[in-house]
Amino acid sequence: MSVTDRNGKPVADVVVYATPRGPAPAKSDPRATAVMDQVSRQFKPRVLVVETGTLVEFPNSDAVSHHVYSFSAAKRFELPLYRGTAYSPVLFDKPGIVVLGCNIHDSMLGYIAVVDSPHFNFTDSKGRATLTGLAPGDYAVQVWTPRSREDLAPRRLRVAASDDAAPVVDFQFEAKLFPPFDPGQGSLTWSDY
Amino acid sequence: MVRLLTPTVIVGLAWAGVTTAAEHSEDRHHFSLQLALSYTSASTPLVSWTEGGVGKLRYDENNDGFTGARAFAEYRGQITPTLSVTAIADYVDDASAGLDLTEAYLSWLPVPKSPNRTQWRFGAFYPPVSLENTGTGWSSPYTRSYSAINTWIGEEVRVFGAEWSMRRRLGGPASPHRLRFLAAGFYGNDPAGTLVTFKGWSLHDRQTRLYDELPLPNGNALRPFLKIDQQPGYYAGLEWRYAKLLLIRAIHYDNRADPNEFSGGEWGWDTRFNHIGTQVQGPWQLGIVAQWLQGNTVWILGATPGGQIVGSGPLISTDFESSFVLLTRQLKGHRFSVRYDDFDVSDGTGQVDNGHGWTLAYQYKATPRITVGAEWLSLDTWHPRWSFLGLNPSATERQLQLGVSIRLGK
Repeated sequence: MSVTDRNGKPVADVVVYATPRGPAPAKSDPRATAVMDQVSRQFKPRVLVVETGTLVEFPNSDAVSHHVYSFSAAKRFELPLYRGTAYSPVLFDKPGIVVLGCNIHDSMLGYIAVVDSPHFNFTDSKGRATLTGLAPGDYAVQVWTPRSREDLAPRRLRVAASDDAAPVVDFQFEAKLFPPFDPGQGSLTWSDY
Repeated sequence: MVRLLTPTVIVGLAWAGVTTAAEHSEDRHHFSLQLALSYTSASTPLVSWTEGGVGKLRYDENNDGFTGARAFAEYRGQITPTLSVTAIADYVDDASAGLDLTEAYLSWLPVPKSPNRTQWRFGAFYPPVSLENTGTGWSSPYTRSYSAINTWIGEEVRVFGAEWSMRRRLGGPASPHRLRFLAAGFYGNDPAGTLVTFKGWSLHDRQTRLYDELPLPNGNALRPFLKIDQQPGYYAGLEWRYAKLLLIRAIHYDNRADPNEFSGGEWGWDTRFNHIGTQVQGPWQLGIVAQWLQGNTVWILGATPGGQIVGSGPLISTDFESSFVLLTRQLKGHRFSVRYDDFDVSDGTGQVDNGHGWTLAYQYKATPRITVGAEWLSLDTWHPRWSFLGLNPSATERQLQLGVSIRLGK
């Protein structure tokens, strides 16, 4: 898979996932767990992809407390003011994009992409991502990045049993992307109150 | 209801908050001690305004040497996950020595249920004018002496009231654009404008505490945060932020004081100002802070703060304006900053205070708790009325400070 911006330049850190068409295969049990950490007043990773039905832990590795919340339709929840691992993992049982915030540190921003598939990956610095373990069949391939202002239409991918070379799907964003995340190591102390 | 937000009640509430929050484990407290060797020179024999003179700096030629500039404690504690208390207590080394608060307020941050995030503050606090005083205890991370604008805010502006603000990310949660609206209603701060009218602009780091009495050049004392009349004041503003590259904030302030009202030894000064400020992260790690403030105060001639009611004279309108640009660069533990200030006060008779100044500062963070620094400041000013005091109306004041800041706490 490859992802480029409107000028044809590769875009890194884009989520690419393939959802099987037709009846979904049975999910593995016990449930998978994933971790969204909080380090140096940032969510780590900034973007996490999980399959629908995954439990996500939200440890706080900072010395200061965080207050994690989301008002996204895919998951509304709140973990009031805590340090360390104060709460049990949170179940993400609906597909969609969950935007995470911290009510104490408003500049903290994280995302959980909940997808109906175990086949996902991120693009590398060349804008390329490889999906492995795809059984023969029809898939809808989709991409997502918080930098995008648009939803690109899913592309169809057919994996045949006899394929030697993996098929390639190309995506191109048409609208200008938001700039990549910059943790901001400048000379200023920003005014907040 | 009107009497509800008196300073005493607010400080009492904040203190109750502090004692409740102190049992929580989420509190943060800083203690900071700032010491300096200070050397001042002036082209005409000036006495510092802090000792009742007209000198613009905090110290004059008679105070050369060691100064215990400031000791402060800032406490922030969570009462509930969305309600916190902040209190800053200051000790200053001058005639009004002792311990007093510079700010004490409750912050309420309800958990957002939409892309709009609201925030409330209740108590005694600074209107968010300064883009320079972003350190703990409203200190400046860049220089020891504040710009003329923020020195004045520290001297004469503090409100007792409620502030609402709402920020919204424009164009989705990943958009770097953030817009913020803010509005506040308050009581008190009715004598604001007295000091800038009588003394003019200054550059220093002395913040007026909530119950301080400041000396005026006419021998009287000023308590700038008093409530004189029943009319609430307000301020409102707008802020735009682009990632960690740019911030622009504009504020209009009006204390809506009645200049014919006299209470507690002070007259009301009807003071309003417009302010716009910006923070920019430029190329080569260069940080830029710039602010502009233009204000006006209407007062009654014969008003003698701290004295008798001798008012009933004509109303006088005094205009004041100032701007500054500060450049700063941080390289590991070293920080270099340079600031240019320009200021002016005028009334119907023309200019009464006019000048500009340069501040050069270097700081080195020797350990996480100890910062040492040097600051050189030069002010050129002109005041036609100083000739009545036997002073040269054109003055140059210079000051060198070698300082150390010690921080404790978590």
